[in-house]
Amino acid sequence: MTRPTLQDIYRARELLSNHMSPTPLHHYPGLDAVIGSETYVKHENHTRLGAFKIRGSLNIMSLLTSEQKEQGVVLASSGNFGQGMAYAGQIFGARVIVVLPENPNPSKMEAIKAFGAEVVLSDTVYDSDPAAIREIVEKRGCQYVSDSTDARFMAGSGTIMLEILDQLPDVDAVIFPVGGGGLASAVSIVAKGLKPDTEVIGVCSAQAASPYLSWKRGELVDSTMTTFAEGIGVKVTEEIPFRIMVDLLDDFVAVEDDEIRRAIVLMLEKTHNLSEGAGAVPLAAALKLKERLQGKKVVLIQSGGNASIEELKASLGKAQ
Amino acid sequence: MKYSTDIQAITRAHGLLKRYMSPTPLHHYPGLDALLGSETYVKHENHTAIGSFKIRGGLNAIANLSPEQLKKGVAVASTGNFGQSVAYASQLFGCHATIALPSNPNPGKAEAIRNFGAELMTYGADYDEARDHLQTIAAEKGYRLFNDAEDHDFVSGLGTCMVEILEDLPDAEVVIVPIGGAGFASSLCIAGKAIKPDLEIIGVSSEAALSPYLSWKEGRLVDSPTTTFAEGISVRVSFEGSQAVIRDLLDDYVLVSEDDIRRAVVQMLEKTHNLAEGAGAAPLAAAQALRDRIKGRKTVLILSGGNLSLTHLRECLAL
Repeated sequence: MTRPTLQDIYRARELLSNHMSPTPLHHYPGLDAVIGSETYVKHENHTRLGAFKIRGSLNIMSLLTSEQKEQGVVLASSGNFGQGMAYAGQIFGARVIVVLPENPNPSKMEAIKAFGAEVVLSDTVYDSDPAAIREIVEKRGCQYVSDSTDARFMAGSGTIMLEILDQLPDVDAVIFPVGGGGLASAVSIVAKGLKPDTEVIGVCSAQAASPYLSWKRGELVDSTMTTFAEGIGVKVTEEIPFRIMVDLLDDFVAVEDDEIRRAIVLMLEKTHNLSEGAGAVPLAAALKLKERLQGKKVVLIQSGGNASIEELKASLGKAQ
Repeated sequence: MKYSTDIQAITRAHGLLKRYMSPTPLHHYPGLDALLGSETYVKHENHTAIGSFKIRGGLNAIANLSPEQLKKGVAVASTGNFGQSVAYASQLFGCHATIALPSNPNPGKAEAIRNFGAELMTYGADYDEARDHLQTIAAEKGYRLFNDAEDHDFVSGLGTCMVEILEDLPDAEVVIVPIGGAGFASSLCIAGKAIKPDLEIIGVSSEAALSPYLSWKEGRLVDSPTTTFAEGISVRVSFEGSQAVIRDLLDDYVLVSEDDIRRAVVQMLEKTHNLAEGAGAAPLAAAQALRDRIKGRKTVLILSGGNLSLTHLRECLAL
């Protein structure tokens, strides 16, 4: 698998336009006052599934042959990717098998099943080559798809940055969450390809620091994963997004889980939008990078809003 | 024109607004289907740039000003979403806006107005005094004064929400809408009944702000004190222009309790991951009271706005 090209990403935008509208990019003076930048939020939480992963999922499905749709796809997902593929599978009439860890987020599993996908539970999903997936690929002939290494998925995610450049052509900096690194890679490819002086800054949780440590050291580093932010909860970093991030990212920030919780509350207060942990990390990072962002046009990619009431309460409690 | 607006003015506004805002999403939520038994859609007015449907009114009002009037400026006495929508639209069109408030205004609201680049004018002990003073200033300086939310262009803009709903879901069967000043509801009814006469439109108010409900029920304007936390539907007095419309066109009207609304705020968060202000959650509260009637039907809940404070959110979660 290679990295997606700008052409792949433009093509993805064309395919996606049949299935979703561009998400809003809103300016929030209330955040300007806190950060000191001219602050915009890219609302991926406003998509049909409340997260950006709908884009890559729709793009993968759009590019499958009818035979491939029939054989189906298999994937491991902490939730939003699984939901995105299940949703896209329903629209395109493709078989989708989602492997989730034991004890998954119940509402996300329910949503995946509601879109007609099959769910398999296995804790091997956290491994770099999960046995459960290997078995399904070998025995059932499904195609394995991943949100961190699949160029088709990345191309779909890259459409976010195409939209941002339409909406705010003179953007100075873009800050986004990094888990598997697919979003980070795709956004950076577009930003550096079309407006090379755009600063692209990745953020992960210090409680799931593999991508951060890998980027800093210039080699793949595994780490522990204890963050509550499941959208960026990774233990390992994949070679392809790692290479792209090393090439293109201007900076990388790791934020503590408590900072993420405070950012969730600040996002609610100033923008009235609910963020999941991953969706709030760009705001947490912007607070750390205040000095550098003064007066700049800064876009925070709010990657998703699928937080449970319990998570919300935990964040409100910590922020008091 | 029989009412404050008509379908022609609304479709004109619909064409105009497309240049200045994207249609808001209408999303289907299986999680709400399970709760209500209907096929349930949410119209996301909380996704607009100011987090409320009122942006439509402000945009249409300013977009229809003459170039001379745009140069002279506009004036309005409101801190709430109405003032904010006029301030937002004025900024977009490079038009000077003066917003009048009573002395010692709520600092948060004053900040929001200033954030949209409007001039803040504080005067007098209450809105009536502020409004009277503003009228004098507006006459002197030639500002176009937006008196209240029954302004023709403003109300015409609001109905575009219904046009979008029926474009996205032509076979919608029921639409549930929060009612306060009733300008929004009246414009939605005019658009809805003109485009799809068999569409059922149901209003909802809080038991703690009864004026619009009693005025509809009794067929005359009734004042009533308000104690609701849901600012968007907190009105003490009703206006004949809007009431005349909903008296004729609204199919039904239900009341919900304050606790029903608070629970609906939490359910909306849980099932759709969207923050709703009280008014925005009221249709979900109403849908639960109407469960038998909407069973199996394509039902649209208008999430009119998402501007809920953290304090109110905490109260909702504490139930």
